Amino acid sequence: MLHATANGNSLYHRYLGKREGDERKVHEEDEITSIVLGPLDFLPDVEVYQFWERVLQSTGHSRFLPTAPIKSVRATFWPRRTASGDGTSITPDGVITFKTEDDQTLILLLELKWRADLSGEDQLHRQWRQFLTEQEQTQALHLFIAPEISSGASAPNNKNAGGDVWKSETGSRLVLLPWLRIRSILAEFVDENSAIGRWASLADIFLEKVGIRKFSGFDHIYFKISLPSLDSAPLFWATFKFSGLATCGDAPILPSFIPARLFFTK
Amino acid sequence: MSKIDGKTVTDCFALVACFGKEVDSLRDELGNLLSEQLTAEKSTLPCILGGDSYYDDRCDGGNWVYTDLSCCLPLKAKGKGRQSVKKYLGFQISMMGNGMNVPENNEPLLHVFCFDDLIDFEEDFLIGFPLNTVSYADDSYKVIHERLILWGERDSSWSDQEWAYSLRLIDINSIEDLKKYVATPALALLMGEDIRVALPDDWLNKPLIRFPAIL
Repeated sequence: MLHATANGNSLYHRYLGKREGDERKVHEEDEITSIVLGPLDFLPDVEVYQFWERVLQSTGHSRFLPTAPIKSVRATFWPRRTASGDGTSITPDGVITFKTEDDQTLILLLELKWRADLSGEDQLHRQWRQFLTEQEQTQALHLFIAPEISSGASAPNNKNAGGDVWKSETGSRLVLLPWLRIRSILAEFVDENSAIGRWASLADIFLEKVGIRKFSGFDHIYFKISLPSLDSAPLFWATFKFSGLATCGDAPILPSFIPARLFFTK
Repeated sequence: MSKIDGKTVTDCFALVACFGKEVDSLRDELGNLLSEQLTAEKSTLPCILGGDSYYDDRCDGGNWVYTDLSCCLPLKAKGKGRQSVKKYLGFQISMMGNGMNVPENNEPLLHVFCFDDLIDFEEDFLIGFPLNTVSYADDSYKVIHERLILWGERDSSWSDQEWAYSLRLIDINSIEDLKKYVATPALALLMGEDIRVALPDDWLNKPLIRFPAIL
């Protein structure tokens, strides 16, 4: 899918709401997780660690990073465990475990959202408390990745769901990651000469296509569009003509003071 | 009156397409920025983020283009015990129609507000002008220092007052602008900061909208 999207294939339109035939339900979150993060499973351990290291540095979580070189990386997607309390199964989107040469462990518990609500107000709380053991919680960070992060950001304030279960002596272990931040990290890795660089390039293009876009302001639009040109038409009449378009709504409000130059073509 | 020419039509559509892309990105980035700032670990705000953001939007009568978009973040009081949502901090982007129809204004606006209720365009619950034509408004507002619409008293608790100010949308061109003109002043106003400190005089007219006394 990454290659197809980069080459102009429109398959990604399903993540913008388009459906094929009688298709109704699309598992967007799972598919996007698989498309964007799946390839990391095939990359060298060192490069995978470098990527997540940069992500955590960008969010101010460097203090949780291991201090020794990485020995191994193990990524599992949709791992399932049974909750100790009520026996229900809990399935986060991913768990990445880093081991160092001196046996330190860093666990990244991943929950990805794609323009959807949490599955119950306590979804993140249950993942943290019932998927991870107490021992694992002291070695883990919980990454909430979404286009819009308010449901993750407010989770520690939700006392009904259990409050701030991520609080630790070294700070919160809940990491809020807008997809846009992931894009900015991907951009740092783009390099056609390395495996992670090629993945970063394709993943960045894919995320851009599915609507994860940086706000670039409005100034640049002026340079792309000649609307309506003072050199070719009197602006006063060009603007006035606009009111003839029925679908454009109310007639535009003319400025109370119209500079003389607007009445005349140069 | 001569007919509109085809090139102008094409240029208009290209402009709307470009503009819409930026407005979408602005909404996502500003929503995330406010979420992050409301949940900063060393926050001294009197309130906390109380749940998911609410988004709403409105199209023109022909259902062709979006005219307004909004985002509201629920706020609860900081403190022990279970708290209910007291206010919504949010913003409304209005490209055309009554959302941008401030007297003397003829361009898109970015309204920043703290209200009791969510923006709901279908229920006509929005920032619209004249203020007394939308469901939200009553006549108890005051315009303070030509820049802040205030319901209630400024020296009361953050949760006992509602307010709004407006920016010229096209003067907002970067994340730094969103921090400087939206997140920082909005949080300062929640903390009870003096209006002219939160929204300084030299912002009046650009990017800040100067309001007349009656809206």
